[in-house]
This record gives sequence, structure tokens and C-alpha cells, in this order.
Amino acid sequence: MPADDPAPSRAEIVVTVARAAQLEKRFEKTWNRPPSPTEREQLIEAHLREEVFYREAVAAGLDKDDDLVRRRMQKKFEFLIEDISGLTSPTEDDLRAFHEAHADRYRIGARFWFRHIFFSPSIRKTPQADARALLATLKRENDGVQEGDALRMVEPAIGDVSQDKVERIFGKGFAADLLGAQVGEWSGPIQSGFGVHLVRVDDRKSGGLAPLADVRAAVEDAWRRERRSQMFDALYRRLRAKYTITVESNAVESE
Amino acid sequence: MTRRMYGMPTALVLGLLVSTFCTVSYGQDPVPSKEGLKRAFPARKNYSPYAGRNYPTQVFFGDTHLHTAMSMDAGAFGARLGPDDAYQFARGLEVISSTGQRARLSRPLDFLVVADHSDNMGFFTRLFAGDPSFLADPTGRRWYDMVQKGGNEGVKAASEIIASFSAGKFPKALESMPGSQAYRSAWETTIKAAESHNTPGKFTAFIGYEWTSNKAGNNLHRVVIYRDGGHKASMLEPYTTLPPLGSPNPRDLWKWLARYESKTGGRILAIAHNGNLSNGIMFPVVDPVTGKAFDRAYAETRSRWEPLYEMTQIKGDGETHPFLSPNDEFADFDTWDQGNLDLSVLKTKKMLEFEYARSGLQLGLRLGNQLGVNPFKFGMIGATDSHTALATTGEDNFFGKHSGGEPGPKRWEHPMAEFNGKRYEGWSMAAAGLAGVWAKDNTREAIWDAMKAKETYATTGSRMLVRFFGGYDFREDDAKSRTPATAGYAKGIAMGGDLSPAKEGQVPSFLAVALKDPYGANLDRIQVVKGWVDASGKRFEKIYNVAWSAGRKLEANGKLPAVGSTVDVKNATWTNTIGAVELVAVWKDPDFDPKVSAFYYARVLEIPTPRWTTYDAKQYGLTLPKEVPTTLQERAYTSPIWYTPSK
Repeated sequence: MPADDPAPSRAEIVVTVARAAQLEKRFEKTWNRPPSPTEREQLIEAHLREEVFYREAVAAGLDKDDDLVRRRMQKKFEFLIEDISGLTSPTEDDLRAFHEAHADRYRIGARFWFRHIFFSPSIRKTPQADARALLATLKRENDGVQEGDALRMVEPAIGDVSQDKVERIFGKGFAADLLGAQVGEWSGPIQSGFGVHLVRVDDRKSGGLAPLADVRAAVEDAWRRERRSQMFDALYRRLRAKYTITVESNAVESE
Repeated sequence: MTRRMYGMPTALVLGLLVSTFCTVSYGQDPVPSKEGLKRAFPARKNYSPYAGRNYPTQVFFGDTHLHTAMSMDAGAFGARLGPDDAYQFARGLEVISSTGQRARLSRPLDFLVVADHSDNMGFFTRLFAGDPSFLADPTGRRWYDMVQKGGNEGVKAASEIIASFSAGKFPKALESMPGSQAYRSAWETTIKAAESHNTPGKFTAFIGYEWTSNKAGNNLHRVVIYRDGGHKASMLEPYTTLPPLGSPNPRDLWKWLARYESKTGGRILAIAHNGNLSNGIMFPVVDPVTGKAFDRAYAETRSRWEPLYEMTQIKGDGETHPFLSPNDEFADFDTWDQGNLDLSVLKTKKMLEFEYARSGLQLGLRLGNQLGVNPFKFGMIGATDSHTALATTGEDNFFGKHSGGEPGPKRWEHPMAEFNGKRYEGWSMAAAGLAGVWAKDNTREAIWDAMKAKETYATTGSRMLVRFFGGYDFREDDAKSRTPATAGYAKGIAMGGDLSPAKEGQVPSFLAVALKDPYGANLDRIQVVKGWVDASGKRFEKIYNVAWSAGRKLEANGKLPAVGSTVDVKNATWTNTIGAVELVAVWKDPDFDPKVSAFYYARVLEIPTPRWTTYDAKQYGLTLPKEVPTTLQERAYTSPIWYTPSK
């Protein structure tokens, strides 16, 4: 504070025009309109309450030598650093290197085009045997639409679907069976969460590493997170090096 | 839904379809046979069902109501995971829970709403960090110490925080107010997490929050869900419940929603939950604040902003109460009826009809007849309301309401919450629920629009597929069809819709189809629940069993014997040797009165499976008291189809 400015006495609280304007702005953020006179009064009263508590807390010395204040200041400093670190952007090379180094995160599973015929264990006593019996007679061109039992909310022909999606529709393990099936032939029976199926996989694309172009946003996000964490560590080490650190101990020195 | 007439002779249309039929086509819908088509589309209709397939062909499952450490109470309960972790988990990745346990969903969810409390958003992160203005207040200091101690002390602190907030006694010094830096950064964190995880076509992350009206402990909470992205959502800060910036009155929330839409051009809706903890004011027939009768404007406003109701979740199932529905053998399910949210006032029977979905829908019909508009015309969804940031609903994978209830040998007996000696038992938590949405694509716009249109259903945690259509032209053959949705949309309207007034001699019929959850249990039955009011406004209901697994016959009184149980309680297992993989029926209302307003919704039940407490007993070698149920029948509840007579 400038020397010639008289410090207000501890008992005096001044709500400046600027402060009141700030309170009104807060209100507008919620309501997108200025407060009415009554509302404005309530805002100012709420602010005064906060100010009174704050001053009492300071008077009680709660801001000095307090673990919690210290921690709060550490957090504030970290926020500052975070704001700065947010300005660093990855280069194309950065992203490519990260993408390769963490390839396991960016795998995409296989995709399938297949038909299936369903044999319901709720309707039949021997769905497996029935499936095998039909398999023996099925010709390749048969699309299977009217064969087997109805599964009304699952398509008999499903195209361009991921492994994940297959598992969600049919249950765990079904996609693995599709991976092992002979392309272009009816095969089975295989088990799903519903019952027994014959399947004909008409096309299959194996999985692999998703090209960077497809997962760019995720890679960039992950890169930034790793960068931030590395930056904090590096900064801390640099700052720590400025200090001479002594850790005292009560331990008795061994002979 | 309007259909364009193509003016082509039927035979030509069928011929075209048959010729395209022979090539293998991978569409979103099964390819019907020529015979099937003939049956679905009688000769007089001459348009192609394949031109501009205009209806949803997929169900997307999600949780519309999840809390993270950003919520003021979640953090105190022990949550350390934020919105980012919540989305990772919902997308199917493994995370470490707040209690250090590895957790993963059986399969990813399709969408998620992280809906942290708008009041004091970010409060807990400030409390935990020891914000100095918090510690200047004696209550703040005490809560800080209790939270640092953790465990039961943390749970106690959380209960106090909730209780003081509902009683309006939350210390002013501790409020995190909209407009403040802390609040703004909390809201920005929420938005940022949703934006970074939202992947159109694969996973939808909605921006949202919970407006937690809890005056005098009576629950009137609403979750607010934005159709929009961060640009619009960040224009206004969320609405809170504390004056002067907020209010606990839903009418004020609706004003704020209107303000949001008019100022930003965005779209937004609100979903209420836990009528069972409102102590009689969730579906009131007079204004609970003024005691005055409602007017048409109230009905229009409420029904406009609240198209759905979250009717099943961890804090109880809200379909109906055994007192209200004594003839419904499935009514007493996850019944929470001790009192309001903080147990400051205990329940009386008079309150019940104003608290539950079924009676709420009936009261809506009554008020609709009086006011000309039905204020309680809501579709149904389920959600968790979990405060662990983990949206778990599987009985064998339940991480509790809050981090004090994450898996452990004592979690069944610890109170979920305790207020002045009264408690909600840990074992009474329900591993529920989910929202199933029939939408055209997995995007914010498509799913939000479907929610607004009420083409949704609630489940108690499983993922059965359910279709429910109403119309005047359904036939038995439609049940035989392998493509029921084609007939459903062509000849009727889907769940959440309205039947046109019946013409002379017409009686509504309904097409209901259900498919079991492929990761779960077989189905027991499909029921249609019909509700109506008479001229004096008195409420009536009737339940019809319309489809069930083989081996049982309907009794003379319409009841169906129980499906039985394969549950081995000791080993926490069951087998799918009873029940059905899928069920389908066309059902005509045998008691139809064309002059009476009514609603119909489908309720689907699974065969019995072990309850989460049974899995805990096995895992930890526990012997639980008799009052703890050992099994449950998971269920789905569709949005209703309403019938309104002509004037």
C-alpha cells in the first residue's frame, strides 16, 4: 500500500463500486441478466458476511504458519505452472513417437461381416444337435434368414462391426469364435449369451494399430498429460536444487 | 409418424424388394421374407419400408446420473476420482477405485452424464486441500479434520454436510458460489472432461449437473442434461438451490432452463428422481409451497422441461409401493419408505401416492383432465446416482453408492448414511439402474432427442432389449414376424408416444418384444401395466401378463405362477435352465373404454439371480441376517403409451 494512503481501520469495511460490479457480474453469469434491487442487496450482504469471517480469521492469525494455508499456496503455484505448461504444443514428430511408444493403447480390434442362425435352448431340447444337423445340409448360397429360431432383435446379417460390438450384442467370447471361423463357409455350432449359433463369416478385417490420423486427439491429450507430469517433476528438481537441505534426526548414531 | 406414399402398386413394390433380397445385404434391420412382408403390409398399403428407414434400430445404454469427487458430499464420503476417471471407466477401461481396488465394467456403456451437484461444485476439492477460508469457520475446520481421518469419520462428515445443507444450515463461509473463480474452474473441469471423451458414433459424454433441491430434507432433485457442447454450456453457470443466486423451487429451475435456451439457442432438459424420499411432494396435486391448485401453465411448463423420470436407482425402486399396489406381487422391490432424504421426517402412508411413478402417472391423468394438459407425462429411465465415479450396476460388480460402500467385508452392515441415530442400511442399497434409449445413432443429438421423445426404458441394471408399440392394427402375425420393429413403427407408435382417439369399434393392441441380456439371465415374463382414472379422478390400475416362458398357464384371475428359481445362494450362482431367451406378444386390451384416459407400459422380469449382498457373502464368507434379500428379479420398465379420448 502506498505510504500516504491511510489504512482503513480494522472495523471499517468498504464495498467499492468495483467490488459491487464484480458481484453483479457473478449474478449475470447464472441468470444472464442483471440483479433486481432486492437481489443486489442480498448479493452485497452475502459478500459482507464472507468479508467479516475472512477478517476475523486473519485477526486470529489463521493465515500464518498454517499447514493448510501452505498447502493452498502450493496448489496455487501449481495452477500457475499448469497454465504455463498448457501453452506447449506437440510437434508432428512428438505425436508419432508417442503413438508408436504406446501402440498398445491404440489397437483396434478386428471387424466382421457375418450371418448367423440361432438355435434357442428355451425352445429346443437339443439345440447343439439340431444345429449340427442343419449344418450338414446347408448350402453355401443359403443366407439362412428363415432357418433356425427367431432372435427378433438381433439382425441375422451384421456388417462392418467391431469385435467390441459383437461381444456386446452376443456376449463374451463370441467374437473370438468368429475370428477362428472359416471365411465363406457355414460353421459351428458356437455358443453365445443367447444359445447356439451356426455362423458364416463373409469378410473379416484383422485388427492392428489405428493410424495416427484416426486417434490424433487421444494421442495429443495423452501426450499433454505426460508432458505436464514430466514438467512438474523437472521443475521441482530444479527448484529443490536451489536450496541447501538438512534433515535433522533424533536417531542414535550406530557405532 | 408420417409416411410418404410412393403410389406404386403393391406387387411391384414387393417384386423390387424380393429382387434386392437375394443379394446379401448388411443393414441395420433384418431382411424380411416375402411372406413376412405381405403379412406386415396388407395390400392396401403401398409404400416401401426401406425407403428412408426413419426409426431407431439400436438401443444405447447409459447412466444419466453419476457423481465424482467434484460433488460436495462424494469427496467427503471418500471419492477421489474425477469426471475424467468416470468417463474412462464408463468406456470400459480398468481404473483403480477410490479405495484402491481394480474395477472394470463387464462391457462399456454407450453414454454417460457426469452430474455433479451444482451447489458448491468443487467444494470438496477445496475442503480437502484445506482452503483457508473454510478453516476459518469452526464447522469447516471440524469437517476438515473428520475428512482427513477418513473411514467412518468421513462418512459422518458427509452425512452432516448433506443434513446441514438440506436444513438450510450450511455455513455461509463454506459456500462455493457461481461466479467465483473456484466455481468457474469446477464447471470448466466438468465441461472439459465431457468434451474430451465425447466421441460421436462410439461414446456419448453429455454435459450435465444435478440441481439438488432438498428443502427440509425433502428430495426434489433434478439432473439437468444439455444437448449442447461446451461452447453453449459454458455461457451460463449451473443453477444452484441457495438464494439469492439459486432456489430450491422447481418452478425457478424451469425459469433458468428457459433462460438457457433463449440466451444460447441450445436445448436442455431436467430429470427428477427419488420421489420415495420426497415425503409426498414429487407428484403433488396442489402446489406444496403455496397450497394452491395448479394451473394449465404449470402443467405445460413441467411437462415441457421434464420428459423423463429416473424411477429406479441405488436409493430404491420407484415404480410403485406395495401399499399402493396390493395386488401386484412384484410391487415390493427395493422399497425405501422410511422417510425423507435425511430422515428428519418419517414417512406416513398419505405421502405414498405422490411419490411413485405409477401413481404419479395416474395423478397426471387426473390433472390432465382438470387442466387440459398432463404435468406428469414422463417416460422412464434408470440411473445409478453413484458417488464413486463408477457407474456399476451388475450384482456381481457393485461398487456402492459412495466410496464408504465400495466392496469390503463390512460394507453391508455399515450405514449408507446416518442422521441423528436413524440410518439407511448399507445392505438396502440397490445395484441399479440404467437407461435404455432407442436412438438412430450414438451421438449427443440423437440420444438427447430420443430422451425428449421418451423412446426410453429403465432397467434395474441389466441390459435386456425391449420394444413396446401401441396401435389399432396389430395382429397375431406381427408377433410371429422376425422383424417386429417394422410392423411396430408402420402400424403403431413406440414407447413414449400417444395413441390417437379410438374410432368406433376400435380397441388398442400392443406389440411387446423382449430379449434377454446376453451377459445375464433368461426372462420370466412380460406384463402390461395399465393405469387410468375415473370421472372423479380416482386412480385405478390393472396388470396383465402378456408373454411368459414355457411351462406355465395363466390362472382364471389373470395371475401367472412364479417362474421358480435356480439360484444357489451359498455359491452365488444361477443357471439359465428356466425362463426364455426372448418373449413376444401382441395383446389387445380386453377392458378398453374409449372415453377414459389411460396409460400402458411394459414391465419385463428376469428369472431370479443372486443379489449383490449374496455375492458379498460368498466373497467374504459372511452370514447375513434374514432381513437381507438373497435374490432378485431384475426388471425393465418402458416409457408409457398414453391414450387420450377425443373431446
